[in-house]
Amino acid sequence: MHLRAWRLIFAFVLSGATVYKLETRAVSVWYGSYQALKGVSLALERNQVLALIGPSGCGKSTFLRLFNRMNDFIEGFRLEGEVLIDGENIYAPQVDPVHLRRRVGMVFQKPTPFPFSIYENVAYGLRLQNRLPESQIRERVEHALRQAALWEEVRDNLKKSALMLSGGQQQRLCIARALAVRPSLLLMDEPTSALDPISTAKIEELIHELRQHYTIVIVTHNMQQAARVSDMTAFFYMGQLVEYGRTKDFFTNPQHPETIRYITGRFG
Amino acid sequence: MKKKMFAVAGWSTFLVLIGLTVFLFREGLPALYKFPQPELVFAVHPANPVVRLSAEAVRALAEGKADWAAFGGPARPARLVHLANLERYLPAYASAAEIQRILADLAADTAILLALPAPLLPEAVKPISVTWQGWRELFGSLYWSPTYEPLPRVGVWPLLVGSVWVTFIGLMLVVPLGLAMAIYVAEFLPRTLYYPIKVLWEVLAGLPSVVVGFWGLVVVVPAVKSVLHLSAGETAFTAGLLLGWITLPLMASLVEEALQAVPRLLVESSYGLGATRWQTILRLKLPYILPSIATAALLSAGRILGETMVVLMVSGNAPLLATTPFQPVRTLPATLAAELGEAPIGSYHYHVLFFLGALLFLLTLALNLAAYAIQSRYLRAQTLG
Amino acid sequence: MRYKAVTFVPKRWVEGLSTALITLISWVALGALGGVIAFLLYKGAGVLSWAFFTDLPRRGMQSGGIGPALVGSIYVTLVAIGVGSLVGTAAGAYMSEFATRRRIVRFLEFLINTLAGIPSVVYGLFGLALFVVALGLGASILAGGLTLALLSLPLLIRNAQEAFGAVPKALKEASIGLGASELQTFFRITLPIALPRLLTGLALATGRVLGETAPILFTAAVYYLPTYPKGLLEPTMLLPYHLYVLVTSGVDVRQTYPMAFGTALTLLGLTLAFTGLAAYLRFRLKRRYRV
Ligand SMILES: Nc1ncnc2c1ncn2[C@@H]1O[C@H](COP(=O)(O)OP(=O)(O)OP(=O)(O)O)[C@@H](O)[C@H]1O
Ligand SMILES: [Mg+2]
Repeated sequence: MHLRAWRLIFAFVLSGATVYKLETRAVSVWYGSYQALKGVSLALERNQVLALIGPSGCGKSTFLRLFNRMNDFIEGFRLEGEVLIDGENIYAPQVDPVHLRRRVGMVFQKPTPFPFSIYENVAYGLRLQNRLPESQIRERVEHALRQAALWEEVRDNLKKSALMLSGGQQQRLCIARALAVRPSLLLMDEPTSALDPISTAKIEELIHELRQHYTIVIVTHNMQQAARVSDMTAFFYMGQLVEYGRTKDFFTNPQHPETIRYITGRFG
Repeated sequence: MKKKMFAVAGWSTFLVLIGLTVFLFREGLPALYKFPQPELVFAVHPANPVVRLSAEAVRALAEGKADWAAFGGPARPARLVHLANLERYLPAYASAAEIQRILADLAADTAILLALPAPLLPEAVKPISVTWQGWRELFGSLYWSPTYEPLPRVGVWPLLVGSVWVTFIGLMLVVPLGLAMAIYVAEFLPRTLYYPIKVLWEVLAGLPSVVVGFWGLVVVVPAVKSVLHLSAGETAFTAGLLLGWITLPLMASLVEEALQAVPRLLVESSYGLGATRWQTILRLKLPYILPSIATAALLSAGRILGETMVVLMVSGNAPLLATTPFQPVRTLPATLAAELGEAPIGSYHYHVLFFLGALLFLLTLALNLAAYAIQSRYLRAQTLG
Repeated sequence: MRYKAVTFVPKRWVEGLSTALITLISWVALGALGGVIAFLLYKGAGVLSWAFFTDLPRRGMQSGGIGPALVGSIYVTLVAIGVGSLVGTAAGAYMSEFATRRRIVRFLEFLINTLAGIPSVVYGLFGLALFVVALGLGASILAGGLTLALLSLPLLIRNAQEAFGAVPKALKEASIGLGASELQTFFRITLPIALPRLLTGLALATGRVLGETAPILFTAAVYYLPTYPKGLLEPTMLLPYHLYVLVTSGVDVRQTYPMAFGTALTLLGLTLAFTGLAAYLRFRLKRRYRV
């Protein structure tokens, strides 16, 4: 913790520039002989929402999962270039991916509630680390559920199985679960694609709230959603970062022909 | 650290397989080169010019099929004295001195062949060497009598033939009936009965073999005897019948799985062309899953070949070369189960039994590898097509 | 010109007959199973009593009970399933969760298939050579239990691998994403979720181990021992072997038949109980997954 803080200050002073929350430098990724990302460089400031868009198979998930090293488990995965969080290369040999993942929350496409009670689901990440007293865990569970706008709906049913919740509630539970460990960065891979419009709206609202405290990266297939929730938008095409910019400019004034074709819906 | 322990457990099967092979062969291979009766000395009269005999020659002499002349000795039939027939020459109660005297008298005969422990041997005899070729004894003889004196008979053919008969009968039963049951369950069984019938199959496959053997002994053996008018109901046929029956679930469930896995598209095309249900089964599905059927049959054969207790109890246990399945037989595994308890550890008998075990291991291994080869080739062919 | 019909025109009654035939075959094969159970119940139920389960065999095993054999079987099974489930579950976890290469897993699966095809009597030989002789355990509960543990490994590993594999990958990833290590994920998510399936396999293996005879013939069993086993390094009477002895080597076999029927029924009941338990667990699982 200390080291990281010092490094931050150090980098800040030395460069005289902003230290980005997220940064990738010429990142290429291979799965065996297949190259999934080709020299992607991008940077994102603190407390911003970044939307990743692009056609299926273009490498959005691959890119997103770089930031908590979830790709490490895939056989044949290989990386070139640097991935930095708070100016620190997270693929450096001394970095423990387990510690990294405790600083980075992740929400998946489909809700993934564990078959425990609602309470235990949220407490799960807390129990993994040093032993917290139960009172503190309670506090943080409640806080996380409030943050995820789920508290009012489940406060009387904390002991009930999480599998009893609706899909939208389950997804918010997963967000609460990720928030409970107090990450500074939140990764979301198509978090609303399995949900109905009302649940989707709730989650989008939530993202709005959360951006005050968190940096968020969200993958989405829904252009309106990207436009609604994000500050920055990145368009991927066949493993390449084709266009990256402020969301406002991105949708009103796209530069590249592929981007134009994609956002006007002329992709197959 | 903990992860390493998982890896060790994961590789435990490898260790088991290696250990199994090593121990089977370590204890089994001595059957090929050890002499069966190391504590016996073979000796003849000093006037007898013979200095070396093969095991076969000893047997021929012992059974009176040849006389000494055939091996360069005097033209007289041999007179064999060994531990098992020594009593014949002794009075009911004999002192040590008396025994020595009687043996010395026997040894005065020029046609004598003694096979006795060294301390019992009279002085005025000439030890000879007897050669034992384990390989020829095991595979060149038609008799199994491993405690026979003075030299055992360890021909594996009666046992192998017994195993072959039982497996053959079992397969004749399990392949057609297993197919029938698989087709019935995959095609005609009401869905509500599907799960119950699978449970019943599991129960049948899980019946303790000793219980099946017991039931076979009190019910099936008398039935076989009276229906087929045999002198004894304990035959290879009886054993094959019971083994085929308890192997049905294995065969049927493998085939049934394969039937369920025939691509829907093909089946629907067949129906679309106007084929009836049975036509689709016989002309499309069965040919399509032929490799699976072969695999299932090979696995069933391996299972039947290795089954011990049922055979031990209902096959009559006679280690004789059977020419029909309606004779008592004894199989490889039954021999192991029946005799290993009585064979002193480290004796030749013990080594021969391990040799049989190794043989059984290799036979079942071959069947399993064949099944595996067919299956993997077929799977590859299927993904390519 | 007359055409000869070249296509086989299916006759309805032929098809109906075929269907009837395979239906008959299927139910007769299972009917025989019912026959065995009914027969043993009819002949053996009268023998069963509390005393039968707890008493020592008496009068040349023609009366008394099967106490030592029952207890011996339970001990040996406990050793076998204790050791087997530990190693088997860990091995299944390795193959499903921790092994990094697909090729390794394939190779291990091949080994397991090979081991599963080896006759149980060969395991008996191995147990005799390794545990009884080389390791000097003698014919004992421990040696017999370990032999049976090896025998049940393929079944247990395969089952554990399937059980762990059936836990949704998304849940494992979610746990990893929350900062759980692989081991934490295994012990807190994968293992608890896989537990019902693991237990199913365990019940199946227990049923199988209880009924096995050939592997314990030379590694644990004694013909007759009028005491209860006192320690792991003692030989013991065992139910399956006891039944074999009663049926084949009594002085007057007819006299021991009632005891034999009782023993057979007990053995059958025990194995059926465990097979039934496995079936029930699986049934429960299916229902739960559907909800
Ligand atoms: N485990 C893997 N092994 C091999 N190739 C993979 C693997 N995962 C993904 N890929 C390949 O990498 C490319 C990028 O995959 P990725 O999942 O990042 O796409 P995506 O943009 O998220 O697509 P979608 O919108 O469908 O989720 C795809 O072509 C895919 O086939
Ligand atoms: Mg994706």
